[in-house]
Amino acid sequence: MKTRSKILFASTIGSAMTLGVAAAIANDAADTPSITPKTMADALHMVMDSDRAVYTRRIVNRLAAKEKVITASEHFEDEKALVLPAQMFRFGAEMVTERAAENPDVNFSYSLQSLWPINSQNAPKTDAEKEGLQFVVDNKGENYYTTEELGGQNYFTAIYADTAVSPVCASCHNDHVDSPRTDFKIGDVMGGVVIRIPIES
Amino acid sequence: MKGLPGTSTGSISLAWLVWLFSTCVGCAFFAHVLFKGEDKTVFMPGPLSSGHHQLAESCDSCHTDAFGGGPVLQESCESCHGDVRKKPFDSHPKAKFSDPRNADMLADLNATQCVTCHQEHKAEITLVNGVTQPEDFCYQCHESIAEDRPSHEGMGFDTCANSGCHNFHDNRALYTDFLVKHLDQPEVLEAAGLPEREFADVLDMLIEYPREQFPVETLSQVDADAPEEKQQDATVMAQWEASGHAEQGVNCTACHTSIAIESKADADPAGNEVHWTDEPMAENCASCHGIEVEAFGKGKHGMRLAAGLSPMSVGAARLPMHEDAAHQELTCNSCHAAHDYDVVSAAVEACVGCHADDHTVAYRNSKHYALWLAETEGNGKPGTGVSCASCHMPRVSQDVDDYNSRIVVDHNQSANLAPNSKMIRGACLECHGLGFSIDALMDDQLIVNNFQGLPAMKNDSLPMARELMESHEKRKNGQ
Amino acid sequence: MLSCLCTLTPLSVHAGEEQYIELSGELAEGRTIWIANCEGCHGYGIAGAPIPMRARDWAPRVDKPAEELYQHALQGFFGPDDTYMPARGGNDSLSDSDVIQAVNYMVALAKYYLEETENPK
Repeated sequence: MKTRSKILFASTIGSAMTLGVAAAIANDAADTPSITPKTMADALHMVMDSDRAVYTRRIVNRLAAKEKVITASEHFEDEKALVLPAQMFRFGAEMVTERAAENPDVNFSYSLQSLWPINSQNAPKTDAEKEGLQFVVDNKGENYYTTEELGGQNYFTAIYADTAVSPVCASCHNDHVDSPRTDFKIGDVMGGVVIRIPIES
Repeated sequence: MKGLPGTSTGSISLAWLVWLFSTCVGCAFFAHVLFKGEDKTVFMPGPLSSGHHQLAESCDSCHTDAFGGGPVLQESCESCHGDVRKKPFDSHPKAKFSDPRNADMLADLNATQCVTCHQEHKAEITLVNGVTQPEDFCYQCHESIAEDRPSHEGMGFDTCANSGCHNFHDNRALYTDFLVKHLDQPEVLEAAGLPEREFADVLDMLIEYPREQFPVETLSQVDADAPEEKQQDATVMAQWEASGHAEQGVNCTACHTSIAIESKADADPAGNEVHWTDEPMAENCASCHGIEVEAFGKGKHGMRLAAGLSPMSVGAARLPMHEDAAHQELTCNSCHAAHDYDVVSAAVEACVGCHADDHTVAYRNSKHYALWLAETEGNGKPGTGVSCASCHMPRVSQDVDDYNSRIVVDHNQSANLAPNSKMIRGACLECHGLGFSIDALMDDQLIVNNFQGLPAMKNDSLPMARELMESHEKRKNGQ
Repeated sequence: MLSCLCTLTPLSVHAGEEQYIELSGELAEGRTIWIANCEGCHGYGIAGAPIPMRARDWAPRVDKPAEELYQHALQGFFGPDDTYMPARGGNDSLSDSDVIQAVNYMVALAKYYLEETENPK
């Protein structure tokens, strides 16, 4: 009996310690850096790209192209229409910027840019943007990664090709009064998603 | 100790005493004003702009914290103006500039902060619309506009915001595709008329409506639930019986119930007792008309009430007012007199009773007023009359919650005044074509005489939009 | 100092045009049409387009009646996940026989890679 209670005591202590250690490891794991900025950028892009694909397919393709019950328009408020997939993407980016400002631990930004933008404010500005956007056009299927300094802060910057996934992507851009390029076709790289993650120097 | 020539040690000590005493008195005075005084204008670094002058005695309406600087002020700006500082109302919302790629641009012109362009207490550099930035600020980002729009070649960057061209914030009536869509409209539209108000029809959409206490049914004087001694004024009773309130089941106690906290503390445990008040407040109105009261608090009529100050008085206004109205104060009841709540007199008589500027005085000679007379006398179709409120408190479709919108009378009459192109979509376009509306609002003299006559000039925006589209069509068709 | 690291996206299986094997006869012409009009999406899986070089994309498709594949390519097609194949790949100037030749090439290409996956050399 005596031995048994000793074993019970020891195993109780042992279990308690194991649990404590496990909890400590879990806490440590949450705070230990284990993914690279590149992995994080790739993961973010995968989420953005998938969400946008779902919106394009399940909402716009289905309701506007297939069922024809509503249209999608740049002036969605005035036209009582769906927002264009690229606009949905931009609005998400703006909301992220707003929310990230209040949560510096989760500080990243992203934008949709092009060498042939309809709104000239979405043309590349930094050297990294200019080089990266050209790179993803010239090397279809590849991404561009670099680092840069903006306003005194260092960033890991990743650029992913943004491609015309539907004939209307190409035709809308080709027909838009402010589009500097008018010969896009489906499957063409039209621009790029630029993701920035602040890094220490 | 040797004193200065001509002075003695005694007089120096006296001078020190005087200095010490006056310093103490000075400190005590300012400390009292700072911590105890109601009027702190002595600390004001310069006169307030016309937008905020009513709040002069309430520094903490904007300076909510003595410390914190810029972010505190930015939060204050947004707490009143923030709802329209985002898309689609604002074409330059803060979110547009927050991306780090704009760091260089923001170093020149920090468009994420209101005070970059709208500084307060700077009367000497304040331009129209409360702008304190040199008028060519568009240049900072749009210097190459002539490359995209050859028609803009040679235009000065201080002319971008001229009437009929661009509005930095609310550009919804002026963007190119909107102009193109409204190119060939007549001066007066065939289907001219305002949308019908629909408050009574959408009661079931109002979550806060006290429908259980006051079911929607027409009431008469025998149903009145005021204490007997409060039902003695026959005029009051008759006015209520004829009002929209009685028609919709809104009984006396729906408004005449004190909502002060202390009276709730005294509540009868059974909850049967009526906490009667003789003078209902804006809060009482807000229990059904919340959107209207909130908007009222954002305009110059209600901003003092919203800030917890005494109501605005006519005599305190900077605009020309009738002297004999100077003592009047602005609450809901100033325009919507109890108990008949006559929306016809609220739309004209209430305004002209106080306002005495040329535009207001000229109104009764205008075509707009003739149409208003015709409608109110039963000779015009509903919605075809044009009152002061038709333009200054337009009936607009507004989101009332995440899933519903309805036609609301916008009780913030200051919202669409500056720049006046903000009035186009909510008011002018209900009856007029876009080109005519822009032309009329460009003509200062026409505004003064309340639109008696035709606009003296034509704006260039529509012809430029037409030219742009025509050349684009040609390009598209390979001509 | 800028450092540039470039990698393949997870979607692309092979790089370069050599992965589009050359075939003889009509299929050679089909290959030219396919590269000019279809490769932009089908080479990379853009918009959910099935990649012929990826066995799992085409295993359920190669056994479909050719007529069905032709119809989808000629008239356009909404997939079960609301993916969208535009009529004639979005190029109205392609003739019916152009489209059919391109489809034939893509099926041949897919079969080649399926075979390679099932019987690796």
